[in-house]
Amino acid sequence: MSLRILLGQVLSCDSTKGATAHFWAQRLSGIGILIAGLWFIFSILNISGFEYADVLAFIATPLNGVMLFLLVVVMAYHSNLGIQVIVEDYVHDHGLRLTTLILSRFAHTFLAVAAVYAIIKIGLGA
Amino acid sequence: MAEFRLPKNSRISKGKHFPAADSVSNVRKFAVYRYNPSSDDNPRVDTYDVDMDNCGPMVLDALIKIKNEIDPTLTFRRSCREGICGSCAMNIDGGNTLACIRANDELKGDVKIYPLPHLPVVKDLVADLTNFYAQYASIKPWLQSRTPPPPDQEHLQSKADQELINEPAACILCACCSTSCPSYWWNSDRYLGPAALLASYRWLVDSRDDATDERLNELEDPFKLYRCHTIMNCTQTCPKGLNPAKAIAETKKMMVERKH
Repeated sequence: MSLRILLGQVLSCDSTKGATAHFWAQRLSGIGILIAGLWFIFSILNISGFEYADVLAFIATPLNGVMLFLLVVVMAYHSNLGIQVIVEDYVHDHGLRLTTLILSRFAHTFLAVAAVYAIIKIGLGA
Repeated sequence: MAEFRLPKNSRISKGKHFPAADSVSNVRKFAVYRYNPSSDDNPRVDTYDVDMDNCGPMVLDALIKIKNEIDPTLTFRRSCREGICGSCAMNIDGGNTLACIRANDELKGDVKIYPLPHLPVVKDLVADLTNFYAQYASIKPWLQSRTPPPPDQEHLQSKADQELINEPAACILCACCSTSCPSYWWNSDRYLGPAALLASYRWLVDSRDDATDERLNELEDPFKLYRCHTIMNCTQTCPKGLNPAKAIAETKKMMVERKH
């Protein structure tokens, strides 16, 4: 193989834009999880009890509801970005990679929406 | 998927043993990876008993002694024997380094010598660096200046400007760092690897270079730059004591800063 052909291969790697945005979003959501996670640990340590009614009352408090909402959404977002990087690292078959990435995105969206739905439902007391 | 086992024809078998003469008292065993592309045999590890009373201090001295006195078929690259050409980069005792500046005394027990990891092997300890060099070429490792120098002199640099490029410019392109990087093992077709990225950084921070933005544009890709996951094997293994991981982190910072 000649150097020229290989250089062509290296240069022709499609430069997908938005890589820095992905990197930056990972960092920012990581910081978000750190803040919301610390709040979560602190709150759980100070919760009045672990009975079903206690936990419902905890989630129904407006501040707790908002913070939990943020925590699950940011966690799902961060996890989606992280799984994407891992899949890109290790899954080299193009079709399998794309399928895995789509499934991962769907699964994360489902989890986030389900959690948000539960929090809102409890918050509104429905 | 990523390959976690060597392909069938790359698995290593036990090779020959070359014992020392009975009169030799100070013997050290050198276990060396052998592969001959012109035979159908799998790679093997041959063991050579070397008379250390009549051998130079470095691993390269032992290899040269083996080639000269025990087994002339042993193949490896070497040139300057003082850590500036990068030719004798290989995996010694589990770490990538230069055989010419790795002292035998620093190693414990038998000395195990393999070619640089995860590259095609040309023969024995000689790895194929074609892709590595192509990646280096792809970052355009030359000064791109559109500003004409003053009529009577060259572009000048301050002492502080020069200090920025001192370390990254000291890279000898031995490939120890790139081939120690797991991310490079899995994705060397698209990830540029620490050596090329350190070289890229050397031009990004050069005060005379005008192509910073174009250089950063080239790296705006999920693989070329962002496959670095800060594993830091590169910095740990660099035989010249350089810090490619820091250069990559600084490059990522430049990418973010120019967006905000």
